[in-house]
Parts: sequence; C-alpha cells; structure tokens
Amino acid sequence: MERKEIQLLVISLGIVFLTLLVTLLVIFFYFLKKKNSYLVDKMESELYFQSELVKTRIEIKDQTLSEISKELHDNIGQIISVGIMQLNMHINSEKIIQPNELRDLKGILAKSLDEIRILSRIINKDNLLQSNFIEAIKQDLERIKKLKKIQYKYTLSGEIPLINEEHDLFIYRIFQEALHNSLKHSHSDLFEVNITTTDDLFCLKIKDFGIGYDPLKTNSGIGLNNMKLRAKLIGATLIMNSDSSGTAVTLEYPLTEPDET
Amino acid sequence: MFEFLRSYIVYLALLSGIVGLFSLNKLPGKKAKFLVVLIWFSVLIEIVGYYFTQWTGLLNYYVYNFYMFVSFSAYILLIRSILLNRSYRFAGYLFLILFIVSFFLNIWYFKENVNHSFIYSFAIGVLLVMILSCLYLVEIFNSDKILNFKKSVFFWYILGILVFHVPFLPFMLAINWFLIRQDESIFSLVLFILNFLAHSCFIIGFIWSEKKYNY
Repeated sequence: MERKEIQLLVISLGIVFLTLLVTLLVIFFYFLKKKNSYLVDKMESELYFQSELVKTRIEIKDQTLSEISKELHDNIGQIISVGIMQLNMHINSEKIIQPNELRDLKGILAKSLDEIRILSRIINKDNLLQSNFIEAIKQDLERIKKLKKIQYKYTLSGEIPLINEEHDLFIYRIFQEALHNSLKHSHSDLFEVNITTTDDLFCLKIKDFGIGYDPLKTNSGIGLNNMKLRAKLIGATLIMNSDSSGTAVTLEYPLTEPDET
Repeated sequence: MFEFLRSYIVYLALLSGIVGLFSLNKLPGKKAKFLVVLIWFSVLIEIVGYYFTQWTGLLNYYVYNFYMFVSFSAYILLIRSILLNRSYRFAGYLFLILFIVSFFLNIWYFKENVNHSFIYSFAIGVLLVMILSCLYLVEIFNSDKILNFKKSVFFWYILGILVFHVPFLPFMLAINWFLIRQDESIFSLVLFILNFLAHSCFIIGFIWSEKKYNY
C-alpha cells in the first residue's frame, strides 16, 4: 500500500468513525439524562402516593374514633342515664320493686348492650377493611340506620371486584367522607348507595335527597378537593352533581389496568 | 485492495434477512414484518445491482438511486407510523413529500448526469430520517418505554439505519466535494464496515426483542 493510500484510508475512516461516535454518544447521554429524570419522577410519585396512603389511614382512624366518641356520648350515655334515673327513682321511693319495673330496666340494659355491640363492630372495621371494603360500607350503612334513624337503599350488582388493598383504602375513605358530608349538611333522611361492577369498571354511587349545595359557592372545598385528588391518585374519576333535590357522588374506578410497558 | 468486500455486503444482508425470517413469530403486525421485507428488498437490490451492468450494459446507478428512493420513503413512512405525537406524525408526511420533491429536483437539475448517485437527495433523505429518528428517540425516552426500549425491534432497526446513514453522509459529501480522493478500495471498506454495523443492529434487534414490545 502506498503512503498516499494509507493517508486516505485514515482520513476516510476518521470521518466515518468520528461521526458514528458523536451520534452514539449524543444518543447515550440523552438517554441517561432522561432515564434518571424518569426514575426520580417515579420515586417522587411513589413517595407521594405512600404519604397520601398514610394520611388516608390516619383519617379513617380519626373518623372512626370521633364516631365512637359521639356514639358513646349521644347514644349509650343517654340510654344508661335513663337507666340510672329509673334506679334513682326506685331507690328514693323506698317501695318494693315490681318485676315489670325490673323488666323495663333489663330492657334498657339490653339495649345499651346492643349499642355497645354495634360500636365494637365499628372499632373492628380496620380488620374488616382488610378483607373486603364493600362489607365495611354495608356495616357503616347499617350503623347509621340503627343509630341515626336514617333509611337507606343499597344495591349491589355484579361481582365483588378485586381491587388492590391500598386502592381499597382510598375508595373507602372517599365513601366515608362523602357519607359524612351528606349526614352533616344535607338534612336528608334517605340515602341511596349503588355499587355496580362490570368487566372494566367499578362504580360507586352515593345519593341523598337533601338540600344539596352549590358547587361553585362552597368554600369548604378542602374535603371535596381531597376526595378528588385521591380519586385521581388511584386513576379513578369522581363526579359530583348537586341541586336542590339532592346530591349525588359517583366514583368510577377502571378495573382494566393500563398496559405496563 | 478491499474491493472484494463490496460483494460481501449481500451476505450480511442475507444473514440478517434469514434471522428476520426465523424470528417472524416474534414480529406481530404489519409494521414489524415490514422490517424483514425491507431487508430482503435490500438483498434483492444488491444482487440486481451486482449483475445489472452484465444484463443491460448500463451503469448500475439506476438501481441504487431507485433503491435509495424506495428505502428512504419506506424509512420515513415506518418511523412516522411508530410515532405517537400528532404533530410529529404530520411532520412525517411533510418530510416524505419534501424527500420526493428533492429527489425529482435532483433528476431535473442534474439531467445530464444520471449516471451518478443522487448525493443531494441522499443528504436530504439522511437529514430527514435523522430528524424523524431523533423524534422517535425523544418520544420513547420521555415515556414509560424508556425502561424496556431495548426489547423493541423498532429501536434496533432505527439505530441500525442511523448507524449506517449518519457516518456515511459526511464521507459521501467529502468525496463529492473532492475533499478526499475517491478510491474504490476505501469506499468498499467503509461501506462494508457500516453495513456490518447496521446489520448487526438488525440481528440484535431480531434476536433480543420480545413480542409484547414489538407492536
């Protein structure tokens, strides 16, 4: 090979490989940068999800505790007070106690025992929730029916969906919040809860027939915003409709997982 | 002294074509099968190009210019069909039109010089394919696919196209502008090395890819 030919060879290969190298390096570094930012993003969103999850757990516990305290004070406390008042009457009157009076007293005690049983089920709800949140929803409705004298209609169609445990918690918390809001604000004495499961959608609808609210005017939006945020976090959509004839809250949770690529 | 390598390129193409045929069951859909068709088309062109002068007595630039036209159009259409972003897809059509126009302008302006490869439309084609490939890479690197892009046959195919065309362009331009002397031997060597790299990418793509990422 001549000297000139070798020179030509070196120059040609130099041009070719330099371009090749530059191209590959650019692609590689761009890839590294993007991959890092992707991983960081993913970790952050995971952290955010976990923190929301912890918050949700705490809120469910808080709500349960406050319900228990309310029930203890308003319900069981009242019933036992009635019992104590009757006992006081009997002590003060110094008459011989009749069997029917004792039976009355027994009835009162039995009633308070019943109430305590219902209450103990609420405390157990965290355990219940681990197996099935639909059961927990039913228990909640049963409880308000018994304690607050409010009627409900409950329909469940389709199978009980398999939703992962963390998402269960979010859905239950959204339900709890919606129910709490309704009880507090709507002055309705009838609730409708529809749970529908199809192949690709789980739908939970809570409807009351109370005074409703104006979604544009209410500034107590923290609870509502929280509900919406959490629905978004688990990939569900929350639809709220309200007018003077009542309020409906619909949660739609897709059961088909988006393709993981 | 490297002239003989020129005729070996067809075996590289044959090899990757055969590997492609064997992995056809991993390639669902028209787009993925189209890759194998393209490779076999290049095999055909290599063979025709080799014997063209013997058969017709004409220089084989006709064959290679025709191949360039078809392959770049195919690349642009292929990448366009993989892209998801709407404006990128629109750019794909625009680029195709641009390339076809440039090709015919090249024929028009260099009428007296048909026995020459169409270096300018080649350059424009490479540029357009490069931009589209970059858009494709940007798209996959900005999505969840970043974790598994190595398992997609399209990534490897596009990498192969880039590896061949991007370094080849400055080399061709340097020859065209007489920066370096045209030498058949070195031309063959460069062509062989780049083809080797590109077909390695294709073969890695066929072997390494997994069916669920090839849609």
